[in-house]
Amino acid sequence: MLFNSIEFAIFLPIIFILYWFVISKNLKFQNVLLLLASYLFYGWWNWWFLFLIIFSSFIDYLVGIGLSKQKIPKKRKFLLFISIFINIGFLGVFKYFNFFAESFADAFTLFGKSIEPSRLNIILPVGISFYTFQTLSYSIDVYRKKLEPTKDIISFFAFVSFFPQLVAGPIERATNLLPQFYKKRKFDYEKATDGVRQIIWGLFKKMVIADNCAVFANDIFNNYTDYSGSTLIFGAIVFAFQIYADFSGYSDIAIGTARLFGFNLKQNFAFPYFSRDVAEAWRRWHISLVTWFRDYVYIPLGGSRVGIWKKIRNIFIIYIVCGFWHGANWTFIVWGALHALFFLPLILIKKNRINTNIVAQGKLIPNLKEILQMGLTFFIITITVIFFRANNLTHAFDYLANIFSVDLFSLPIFPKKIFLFITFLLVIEWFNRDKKHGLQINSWQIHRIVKWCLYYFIIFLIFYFGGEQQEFIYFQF
Amino acid sequence: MKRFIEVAIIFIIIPVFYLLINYFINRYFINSHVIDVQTNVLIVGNSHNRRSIDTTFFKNAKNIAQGAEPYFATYLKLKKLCVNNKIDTLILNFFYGDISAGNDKKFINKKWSGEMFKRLYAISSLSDFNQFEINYRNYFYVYIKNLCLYPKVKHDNYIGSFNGKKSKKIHNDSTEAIERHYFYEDKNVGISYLCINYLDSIINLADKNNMKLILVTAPLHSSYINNIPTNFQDSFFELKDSLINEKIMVLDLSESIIEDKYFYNSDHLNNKGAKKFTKILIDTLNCKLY
Repeated sequence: MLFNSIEFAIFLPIIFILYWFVISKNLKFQNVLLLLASYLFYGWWNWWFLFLIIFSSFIDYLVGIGLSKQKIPKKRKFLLFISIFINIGFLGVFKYFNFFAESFADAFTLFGKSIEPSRLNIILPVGISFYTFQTLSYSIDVYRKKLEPTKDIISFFAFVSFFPQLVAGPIERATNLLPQFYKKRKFDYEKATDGVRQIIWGLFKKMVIADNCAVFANDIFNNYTDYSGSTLIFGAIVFAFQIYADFSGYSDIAIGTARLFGFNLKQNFAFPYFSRDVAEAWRRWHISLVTWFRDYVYIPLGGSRVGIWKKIRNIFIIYIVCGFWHGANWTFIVWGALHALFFLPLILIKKNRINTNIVAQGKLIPNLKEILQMGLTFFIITITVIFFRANNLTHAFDYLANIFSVDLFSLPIFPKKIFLFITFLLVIEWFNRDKKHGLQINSWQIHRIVKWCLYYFIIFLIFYFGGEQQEFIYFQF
Repeated sequence: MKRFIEVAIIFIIIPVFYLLINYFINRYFINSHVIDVQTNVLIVGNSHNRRSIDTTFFKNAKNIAQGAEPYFATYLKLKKLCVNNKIDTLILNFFYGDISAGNDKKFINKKWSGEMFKRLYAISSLSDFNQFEINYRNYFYVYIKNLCLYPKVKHDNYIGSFNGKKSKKIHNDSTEAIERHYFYEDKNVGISYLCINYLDSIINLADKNNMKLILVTAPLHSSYINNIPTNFQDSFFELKDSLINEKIMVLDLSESIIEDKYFYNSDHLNNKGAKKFTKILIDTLNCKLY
């Protein structure tokens, strides 16, 4: 079920009414309802995928209980290995098998021999990369004794499959989300209204920005040989906004929906295009995934508290793994590696944490230095997203080569409507860059009528300019 | 909770009220607005007529054809236009793809359904689509967007015009065009009896309104004609014969122009081709009618 579908517009109010009006007094019933609703939400794509998520949940539930009873370190390690093996195994089979088979076959051709790789004709289950990481975090945290294992099977299954964030995150940690299932949720007016605001903003980002950008960017990327270098730059810029609006829009809807049910999910995007360097951009982009890799991969490898060569190795590992998580394609690996390259100088000269505050804090407009820093960071992001969007490496390099052609300084095709939307997005988000989401305007000292007019205006834009319905990009990850 | 529900209801009621007012205003405009085609020769159908009959060379004629238009849509258009217009001659395209079941999928297809509903919302109701599978999301989306968001006087998206294309060289896309017209998910879509029925309805409508109906097959490039699946060729010729037996004028001019320089792509003429074809058509009509 897509967030921007009629089905979801019917589904959400029904579950909301049942949750707060029919069974609000019984926590267990509320959790059962959330679990069933989540399975319905997920099964809407394909019922068969439900078996996978149930199996994955069941394994980690048992591993958790096993870890609580087991005191012998070797046996505890073995239990953790089972969880990692099964979860990563599923990912490997469904997401990466064909990639490895084809890459293996390609490697053979380098030695003059060609082999026909065997491929699996399977569909990638929606959101597998997200819930796998979520459930893995539970097993690892229990193993590390950071979290008490749960015996409440309903809460655990509901935690793994919680529908607002099931298919495209934020990837919630068990330490944050699971305890929320144990406690009685009370309806909070402020939280719920702000949740609705966040949903509206997310829908705007997805349906107005991302879906309209998609039409332009798809045309440019699919027919890049027909366009001038200057237009190809616009194509990359538009795609950079498409991916941001698509994914952060999804996260906004997810977080807003969860708030309607009394849950707090972690902020997943903190206005990354207002970053002054690549390190800051990564602290603000897909926060739940980046912190997951930081805590479960980077730090166990030694993080930055090791020698210089190991530090470099760790950085490349984390960025390449992060790229590879996005998809089984060399383009994502190169995308990750490029980010590592841009990040590396900052960490080596120990300037990776100089921009931890909000840009131009307390000021209406940034100074020239900040503008240049943000511009340069956005330029780096734009160049790298070409690899993110390209179908393969040849496509990416050809696209780049076509940018730097003789017509680079010719007049580009300028999608005026799209840039108007993007300007609106940037203005609204700039004024709220210290908030949790772009439309958190409850503290603005303006009359309620003006606020409502703004909401209606955004809803009008969604209806009137909502592009052709497209799936969320991150579903394929 | 009570406060949240109250605020939510008020928040929803205001736009619902606004949408309803717009709906009634737009309905009033649709019902009161008369489309005057100001012609006695009307050219209708899909892109084949749209791109091949240039009305700057065809006195008194008006081309209102639109790309990818199925007979069902043409029928709805004519039904509406016949109420307030006196049309003597109706030129409708008649081409192999017009009887393809691919046309029936245009109301469910993600890409086409929105465009179809956008053209037809003012002259159709949901019940008109009973015989088709439709994309409800797109239907209601287009309906609300065009009727409820703001008042607008003109609701004539269903009126097309001649749309000539300049090209020096033919874009030979016969494989893609054949695929698009006769196949769906790599399978031959077969013949649409709904399309044939709606062609029949157009014939009856023309007859009832004393319009002389002329079915025209515009030029097609040999690379296209040679690749049309045989079931479509057989059905097309069978239907053509039966129409001729019913005394309907059918002008198969599909091979009246063959040179590449007159084609935009495998199944459409370019500007030059349209000019040439319009003259051929006028000459043929003069010959047959007078």
